Amino acid sequence: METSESPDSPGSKSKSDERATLREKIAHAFRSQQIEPLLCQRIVETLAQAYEASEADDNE
Amino acid sequence: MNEAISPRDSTLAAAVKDLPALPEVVTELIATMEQSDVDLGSVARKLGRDQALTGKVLRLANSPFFGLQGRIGTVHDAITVLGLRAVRSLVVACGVQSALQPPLIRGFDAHEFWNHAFESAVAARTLAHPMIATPDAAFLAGLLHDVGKLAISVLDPEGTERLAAYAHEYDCCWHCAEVNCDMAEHAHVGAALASRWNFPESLCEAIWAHHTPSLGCQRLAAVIHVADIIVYAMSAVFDPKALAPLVDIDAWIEAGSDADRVGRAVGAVLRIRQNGGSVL
Repeated sequence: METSESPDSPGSKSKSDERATLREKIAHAFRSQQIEPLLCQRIVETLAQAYEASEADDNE
Repeated sequence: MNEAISPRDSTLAAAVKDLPALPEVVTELIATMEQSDVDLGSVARKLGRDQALTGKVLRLANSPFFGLQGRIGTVHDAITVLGLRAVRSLVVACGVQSALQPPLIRGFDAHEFWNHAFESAVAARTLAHPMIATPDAAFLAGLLHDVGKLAISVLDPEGTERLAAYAHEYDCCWHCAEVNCDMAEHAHVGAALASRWNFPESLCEAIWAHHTPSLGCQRLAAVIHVADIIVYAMSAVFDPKALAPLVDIDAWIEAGSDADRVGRAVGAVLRIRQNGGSVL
């Protein structure tokens, strides 16, 4: 019988892991910035949210 | 703009006069940029005289980006369906591509260059507030913001290779590499070239200031600056080597703090990638 993986089962990435990975990847593009880290974090968050929203639109 | 040129920029900025002129029809189209009343038939006839350019424009107009594959058979159709401004941007891009063809350079890929230019153009068009620039002016500025890199790659291929190696070794952006190596800045060389090609002053200024928009006092430069950042940040999702240029906070506040516009710009860039990349 086939079983479906739960979001948090070993080997599968939970939604929150995916979100964190996306933010890490985008933040990596800003690794050489000379701006205040909090501000940089806000820019990354804006871009990550936009990315997620765009992907969600495409999946609809 | 040119009064502020630094000694390290001046040699290459002066050398742009040795670069090829744009095809005549491109120059004529640029002259129509600030005209409100343009005779479309005359534009189509002028463009039709340059067969190579016409072929390229029709190929682009029929690309998946415009969703009209195979339906545009003549320049007149292209202007009618896509609009004069869109066709003008395509013609200018094609003209610049044929005028500036860099040799093979390690670390500098002309195809990647045009991909980035096109994505930045699409992001800028989406990002630009109507009070700052028309979507078409923003598109063209995005398309040509890095034209100085292309000019330098033609004028100084060895220097371009050294810059690419430096940026790779020290993991810094292209602009930082230029400053650290005390080499000509592509923004300034690009602006000199745009001026020589008689592009509108607002476009020359945006190219000049796209890495230092606070100094440029030019809001179109802020839009291009943020569009550039968005495109590099989106590349980082797939490419760990991608690196955003240094963020100018004032520019981000000016053009990037509207989450809705940033959201649409990010979506537009992602759609290009999902549809097979740049049309250029």
